[in-house]
Amino acid sequence: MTVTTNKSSGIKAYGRHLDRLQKKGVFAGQPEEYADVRHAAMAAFTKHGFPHRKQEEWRNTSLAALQETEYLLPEAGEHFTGKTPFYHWADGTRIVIANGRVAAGLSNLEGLPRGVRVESLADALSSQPERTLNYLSKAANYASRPLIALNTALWSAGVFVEISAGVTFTGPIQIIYLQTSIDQPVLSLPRTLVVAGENSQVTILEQHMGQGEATYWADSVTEILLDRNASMDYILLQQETPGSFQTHALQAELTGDSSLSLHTVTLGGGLVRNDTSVRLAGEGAEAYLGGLYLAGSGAHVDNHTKIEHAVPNTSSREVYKGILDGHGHGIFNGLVVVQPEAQQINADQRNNNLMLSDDALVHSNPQLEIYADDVKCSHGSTVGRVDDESLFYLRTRGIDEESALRLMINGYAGEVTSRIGHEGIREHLDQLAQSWIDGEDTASE
Amino acid sequence: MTSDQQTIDQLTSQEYKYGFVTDIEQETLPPGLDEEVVRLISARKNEPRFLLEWRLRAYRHWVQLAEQGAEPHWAKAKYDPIDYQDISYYSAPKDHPRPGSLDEVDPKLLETYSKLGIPLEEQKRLAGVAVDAIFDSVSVATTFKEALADAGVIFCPFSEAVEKYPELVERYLGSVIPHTDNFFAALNSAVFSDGSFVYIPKGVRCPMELSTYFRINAAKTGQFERTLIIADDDSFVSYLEGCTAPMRDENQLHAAVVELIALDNAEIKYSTVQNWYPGDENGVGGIYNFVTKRGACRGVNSKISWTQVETGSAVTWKYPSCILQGDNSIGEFYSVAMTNNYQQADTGSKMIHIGANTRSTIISKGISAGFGQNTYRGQVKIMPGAVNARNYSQCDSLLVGDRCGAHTFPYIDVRNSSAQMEHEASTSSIGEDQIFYCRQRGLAIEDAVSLIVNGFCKDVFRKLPMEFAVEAQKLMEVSLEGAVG
Repeated sequence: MTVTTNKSSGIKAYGRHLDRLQKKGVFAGQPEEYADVRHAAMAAFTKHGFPHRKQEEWRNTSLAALQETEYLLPEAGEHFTGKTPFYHWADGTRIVIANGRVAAGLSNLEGLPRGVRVESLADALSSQPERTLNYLSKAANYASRPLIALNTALWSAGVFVEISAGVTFTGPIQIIYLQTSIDQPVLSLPRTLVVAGENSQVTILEQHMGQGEATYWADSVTEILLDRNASMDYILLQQETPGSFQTHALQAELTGDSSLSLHTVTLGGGLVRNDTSVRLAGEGAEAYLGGLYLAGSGAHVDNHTKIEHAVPNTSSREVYKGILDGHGHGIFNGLVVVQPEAQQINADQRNNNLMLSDDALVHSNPQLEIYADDVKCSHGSTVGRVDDESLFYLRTRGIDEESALRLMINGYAGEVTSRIGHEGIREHLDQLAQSWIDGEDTASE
Repeated sequence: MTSDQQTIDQLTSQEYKYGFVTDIEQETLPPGLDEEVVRLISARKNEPRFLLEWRLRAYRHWVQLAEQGAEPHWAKAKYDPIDYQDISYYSAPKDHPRPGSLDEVDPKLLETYSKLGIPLEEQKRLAGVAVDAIFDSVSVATTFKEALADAGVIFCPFSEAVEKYPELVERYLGSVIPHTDNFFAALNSAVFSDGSFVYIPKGVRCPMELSTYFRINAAKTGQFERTLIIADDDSFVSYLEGCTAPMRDENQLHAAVVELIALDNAEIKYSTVQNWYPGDENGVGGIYNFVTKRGACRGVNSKISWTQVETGSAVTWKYPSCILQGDNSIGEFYSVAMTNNYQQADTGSKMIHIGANTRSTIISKGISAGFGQNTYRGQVKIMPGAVNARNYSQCDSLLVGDRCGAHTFPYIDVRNSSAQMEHEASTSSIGEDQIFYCRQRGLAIEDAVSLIVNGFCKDVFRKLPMEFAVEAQKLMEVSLEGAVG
């Protein structure tokens, strides 16, 4: 009984955060309309509480440890004054949110072409409420999703990217959420809104990273809206600290003939749960979802994806690959839904898991839910270790075992990164994956 | 299109041919379930004390589950709640005790079974299949007893096994599916009335295929049979199961439990053609088929193979599974599930790898037509000790018509890096090009569809014993009739 009380008081504590932040004027200047949304979202969170393992969607991931911790929600975190701790392109466009506030010194928003806007979401909501509310919370429905609800109610710093119709910008745009180490566990609430206008084309890299020993819970929400014939390459890179929790909901809505190429790369974190949901709502829309998750000891990476074919003539392809080492846990749950009227659908879904250790664990649940008949849908899932025969082949060519193994693991991971259009990002990710693999190898020896 | 539509309509309008009711004097308990009913069933069967106590434990557990609202609703099927107090838990043709030979069996019963095409009479010896026939709650006839006894095989109604071989029953009953396993297994354990019992002694290859036919006849009854098959070291048995029921507007509950145990080097092949009444074309009536089937490969090198053809029932909830405990043991699951009209099937398999070098194969073919909803749901679990375990799963769905649904929900859990697990699934309709090709070759559209569907199911059909394979193909044709469009 005491446990229950604790939990519900925990949930109420989050409710009090909203009142406190409002009183302190953190949301000052934001439209009244959005204050109502925050309250409604908090009501939804209070009603549902935290997801728990009795729920089918959460059967393999427990948030119990997260609920035991009391997270601080600073009105505004400390100013970050350190050096730029992340990879970046010298003149590249970037916006950095460090410890919950926009770090102007680290950001570079100079010289953006006409039609490309990259700004603080909170500023946009205050200065141009109508334009912002046109899009905000349109894709991310919080009514039945408590973690989206919590973010919607409490977020204070976020990023708004808008690409006007017909504009091409493959710079890329780098969005960085950075958490540094402080004494107490912190709740951070990254919120990203990306809108691509008709016939536009853009490349975006959204990066989440923690430094050092930082313990925090990042409850993130990303909303992506693609207008007709827009084309987007979106890379989500997660480099959290081992002591962190990351719950990330990404919701994308695609209209006619638009195309989204989404790559989720998880290289660290204690517990990572990604809920990625793509809705193909216009004829001719197509989506590619790539995923690479590397989980070593202490890491629990859970990717839940949902691709909904709501209209005819849409297609999707999904490839998620995991490498599990040490006591790492990898979970993949991919659902493809084809609605009754959605004929002429192509959907393909793959999940491969490479197990480097006997203590690792894989749950793979690729799922198809199909209500239309003129479809071609398939999925496949594999779990196994490095193929002995391939290894033997490489060794007969005079390559030592360790190099051969590395070569094979790299090739395996490379299938996901190779689909990224931007060369710089691709190389950077390959390097990161490489050093993860090398690091894990030495750790396990 | 119109002519196609007509063909489909004709096909769909085909009647369920086993829907007749046998007018026979029956003794049926009034509807309702309480401890008294459980005691009464047990008393009626002169059961030993251990069995009564086991039933009561199961009943109490079930009551607890019912109070907790633990009836499983996670299957992808919608149906009206079942009123467990509105079901009669025991119904038997009068004229008992159990007949010594077929001459003593009520001729009406024999007629029923001959209508069903089941070779009950000894003169059909050539068919070479030993049959145990279960009519509502009791077994009415078992054939070929002598031939089997010569080989040392025990094949008899469950209630007879309880009388004659209580030690075997006590030792193995509930050892694969305990009464606490799930809601419907608990209910079955409390009220099961009869079923088949098979014991193959060490080193014996069962000389013929064993077969059980289940028939629900009485209205407002549920059928709760229990099958227990034990294959001792180095033995082999092939077992067939068939079932039919009359057409009624009400839904009837069938909650069976099947337990298989394979010891060292033993093999059990279990084939089912499930053809319970599926309800009419508007989804009225039909059987709720909520069955728990599980086999334990306890011994080394043992093998259990499930083959099922599911064409009947309004709602099916059934996951024949294998627990691969013994090293090098093998589990197989071959399934064709067909849903037409408003039928709903949520079926699949579980393979639990515990021993080293265990292998499993899952081949599942789902066909949806009309408003049917067909779901494959399965689990492959590879435990840490299952070194070099291997699984291959393939789940294909075929959609006929644009109002049906096909769903695939595999659950894959791997805890051993030496394991190799592959799962593949596909969903598609019958290609226009395929139909066109067949029609070009002069085939009528319904023949073309039938050909394609049969080809789709071939991997499974060829695993069936000969007589069943023929029956299964015909069943598919009947079930699909009227669905082509």
